[in-house]
Amino acid sequence: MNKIVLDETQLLQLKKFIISKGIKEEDVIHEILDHFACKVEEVMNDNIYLSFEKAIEHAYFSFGYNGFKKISLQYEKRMTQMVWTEFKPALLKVMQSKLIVCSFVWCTSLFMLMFYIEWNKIENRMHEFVTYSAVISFIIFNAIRFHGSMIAKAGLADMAFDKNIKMWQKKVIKMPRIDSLNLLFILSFILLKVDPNYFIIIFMTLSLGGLLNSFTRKETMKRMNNKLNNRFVYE
Amino acid sequence: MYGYEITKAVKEASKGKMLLNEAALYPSLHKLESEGMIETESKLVNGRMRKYYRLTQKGNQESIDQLSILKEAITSLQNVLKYKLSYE
Repeated sequence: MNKIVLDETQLLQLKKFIISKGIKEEDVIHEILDHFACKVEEVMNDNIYLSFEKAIEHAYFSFGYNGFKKISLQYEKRMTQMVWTEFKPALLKVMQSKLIVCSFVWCTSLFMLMFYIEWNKIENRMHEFVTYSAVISFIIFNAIRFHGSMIAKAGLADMAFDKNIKMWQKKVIKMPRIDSLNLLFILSFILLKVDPNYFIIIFMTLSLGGLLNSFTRKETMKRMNNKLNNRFVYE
Repeated sequence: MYGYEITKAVKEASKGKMLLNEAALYPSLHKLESEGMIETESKLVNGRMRKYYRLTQKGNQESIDQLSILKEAITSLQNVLKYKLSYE
């Protein structure tokens, strides 16, 4: 006697059943679907008079109370964990990149110079020069930052084709933005009534933070993508 | 081995005395995977994705270690049970 193997419409029905139980992640659905289908096939082979719908009920019972949900919750937990474990090495790697180091040195030296001039109260052309170069670097950094965020967005768009990783993509996007820290920095400066000249420095820090942020997020995505995608063989 | 195969294997090897629940199996598989103990590969079988799990080298070593620890624990437990107090 031939063994019963579920056809495509039945598999689709099973998939709908799994989704109706509140499972959203494509990765989990695939995993449960295969197991569930095997179970249903076994039930149907054991009792050939049993209807498909009854077999689904039997198979679902074997997963236990909230069985699907438990698997999905654990999966989500693992993904969140993965974002954080990958975030740290990604941040370290980005921190070591030449661009960031150079920008940091440039910003710090400008800041030191401005600070020095302010301290000595020298109102001369040197001051103008420093302000001028600070504005220029602000523009440059913002341009780089914009470029960085564009790269990150393009990376996101590329990966969006993959339904499996949509879930953790959202997690990466939700990662704390270094920008918000900079905003806090600015607010504290306003509250402390600091010389407006320093705003240039603050804006530079802002752009530097943004740059670091977008690159780190991109690197995190890349790392996770490598880790997850290497294992998946698609049709 | 894929998920369903694992539950079947556990059931058959223990002659039905051990039942591995799906809700317990997958979370632990995912945990082992994130720890790098097992690796996976997906294949299309009968029109659906099937995820095969396999022990990595690290996982193999870990299972050997854990088994020896378990063996040690059992022997010491047996020794404790066999032990007779000297004043008896």
